[in-house]
Amino acid sequence: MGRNVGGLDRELFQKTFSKVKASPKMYQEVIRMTEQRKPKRFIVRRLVVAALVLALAAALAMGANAATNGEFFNHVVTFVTTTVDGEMEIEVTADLGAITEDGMVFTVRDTGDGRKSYITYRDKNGNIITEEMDMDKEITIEKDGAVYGGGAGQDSAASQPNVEAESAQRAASNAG
Amino acid sequence: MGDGEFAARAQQFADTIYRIAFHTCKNAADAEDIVQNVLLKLYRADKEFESEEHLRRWVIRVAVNESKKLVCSAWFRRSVPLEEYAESLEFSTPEESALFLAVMELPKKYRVPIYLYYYEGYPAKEAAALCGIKVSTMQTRLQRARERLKKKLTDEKER
Repeated sequence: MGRNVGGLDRELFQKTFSKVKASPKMYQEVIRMTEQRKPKRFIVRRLVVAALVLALAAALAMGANAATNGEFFNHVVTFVTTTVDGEMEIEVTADLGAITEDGMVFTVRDTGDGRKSYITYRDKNGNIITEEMDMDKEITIEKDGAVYGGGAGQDSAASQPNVEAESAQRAASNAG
Repeated sequence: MGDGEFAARAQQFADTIYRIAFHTCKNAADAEDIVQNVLLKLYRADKEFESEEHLRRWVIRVAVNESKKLVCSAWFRRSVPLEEYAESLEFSTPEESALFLAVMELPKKYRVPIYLYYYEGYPAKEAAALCGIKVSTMQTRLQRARERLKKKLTDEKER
């Protein structure tokens, strides 16, 4: 039949064992496992977005966004992410020099269970405010600073509750 | 390794790893566990591979080692009848089926060497390096495996 090597037919050997294959299900499982290895990165992205939303909301509450003609995001200067004792912590330092005399620091903390997240920030009166964040929202920030958000599984910005408005309301109540 | 590259590599090597694992443990469930372990090692490997062949050898070497580890561990408890598995492979000729069962009946120490030599095409010296054994040991194992296979397959034909 095929090439005989040392008394064994190599081609027959290859043809026979080419049928021994891993199942496609197993392959999918490996890909899924590697995707599951990145929850922190995902949380970081979402937390950064949430922090940005709150920063924007706070700025809006102070009328800053209007004053800067929607250029608020140009003033965000640093993002610091650290993991401390299994908790994800993000500091978003917004340079609000153009808006107020004092800078503002926002800290978003995830409890690690992927469900509860808290945002802590110092308001312009120096009070430390901690709020639970709803991290199940998909939030989109457009380049021009427009913010859209809503529940999981919904993809139309028009159909979503406006996070900007929600957050602005929340921040306004804290600031007030 | 990026996700796209990993997905391509996983697809490229999954069957090779599975065959090596199957030659060691002789059952699909354990072989699939080994494939997962090896691919996850590949995913985590912070390593620059000089060439395709370098990567291939790395994967085979890790597959051989992971297979040995599983066989030695207390987890190695599961066993499915080989005939049942062979039927699921739908061999096109009785010769293929006979060869599969004959190879699987070889002692464990002969199965991976014979696979690396006859399927992957590695010469004895390279197969020895991949298995972490001496070249002379590899040559002896290949020779004995061939003799056993020839005898087994001849007996089968004569029946």
